[in-house]
Amino acid sequence: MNNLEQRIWDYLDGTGTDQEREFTKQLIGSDSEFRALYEELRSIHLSVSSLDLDEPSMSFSRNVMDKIQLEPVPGSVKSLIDKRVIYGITAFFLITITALLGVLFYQTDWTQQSGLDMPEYKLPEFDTSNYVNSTTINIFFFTDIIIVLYLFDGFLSKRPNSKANH
Amino acid sequence: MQENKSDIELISKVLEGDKQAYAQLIKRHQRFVFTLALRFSKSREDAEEIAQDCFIKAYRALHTFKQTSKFSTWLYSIVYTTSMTFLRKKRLDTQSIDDESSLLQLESQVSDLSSNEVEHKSKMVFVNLAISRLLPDDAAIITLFYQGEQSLEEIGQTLGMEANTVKVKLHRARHRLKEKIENILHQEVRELI
Repeated sequence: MNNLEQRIWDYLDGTGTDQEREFTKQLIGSDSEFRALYEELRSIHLSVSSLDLDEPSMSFSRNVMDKIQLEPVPGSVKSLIDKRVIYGITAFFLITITALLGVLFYQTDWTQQSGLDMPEYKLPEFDTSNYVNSTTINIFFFTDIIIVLYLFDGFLSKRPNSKANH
Repeated sequence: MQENKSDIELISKVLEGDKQAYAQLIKRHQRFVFTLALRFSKSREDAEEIAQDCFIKAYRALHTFKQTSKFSTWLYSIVYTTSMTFLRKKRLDTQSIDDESSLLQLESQVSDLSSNEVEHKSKMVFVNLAISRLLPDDAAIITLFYQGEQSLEEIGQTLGMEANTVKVKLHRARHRLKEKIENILHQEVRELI
């Protein structure tokens, strides 16, 4: 790119000092070659300035808002919880518990019999037939069916949204 | 009612939990975000995906917007980084391409218009075609300057560059645009002869 072009672009953008602008203006008036270049660049400048913006699809805004509805409010405690922290805490406790169990098992002498005589304990007799009968089983299954239907409904209502987004 | 509110007022509403205020922000900026994404991806489907991704990213990070710059500048910087990541992922050829589909679009857009309109529309289509043949960075800088009406400083904030660097890049991008337009016009003339 030559300096003349740069001078003209600066003039068209309104940048540069007053002195430079005045000099460019004089060149446009006096030099026909410079004026031709100025007209060419001015035409590009005006054409690009008047270009229309492209339009996304009609469902664009709705698709974004559907996804936004599933997001927590920005800046809320829920949105600030980093999943990596949760995974870190989980990993820490899992490793600690595993290590403690490992040490415990390692230190236990499995060959030695217990030296303590534990008192014999007899569980009180518990008659389950009073509680587990056909009515309670029916109630149990009925509740299960209701929960399954509720979860299935939730799953189905989420699916159209995810389909629409793709 | 929310149409009259400024971007900053709408952002405050969103941060208070009013998600519908964000719909207004989307409506206000979607065309430019989409156009900018299109300059990088060169495909409407991909541009729409990038634009959606940008609005969701912007929503998640809205509380980090410091209001030291315009919301649009902040949003466009998200579009720029998201588009660059997209390009890297797709491993698109970032060299200029002769997009045949653009020529087909050109033909379809010029039909059914009066002679003056045809002249104006043809010019616009040629310029659009020339921009689509630029490198993504050049196309983005021209789009931000002309269609985004961003100052050199604001473009610098968006692209993470100094204003002077932006000025040089803009001049170079316009020079390459001029060459592309000339190439397209020469091609048209050769086809007519």
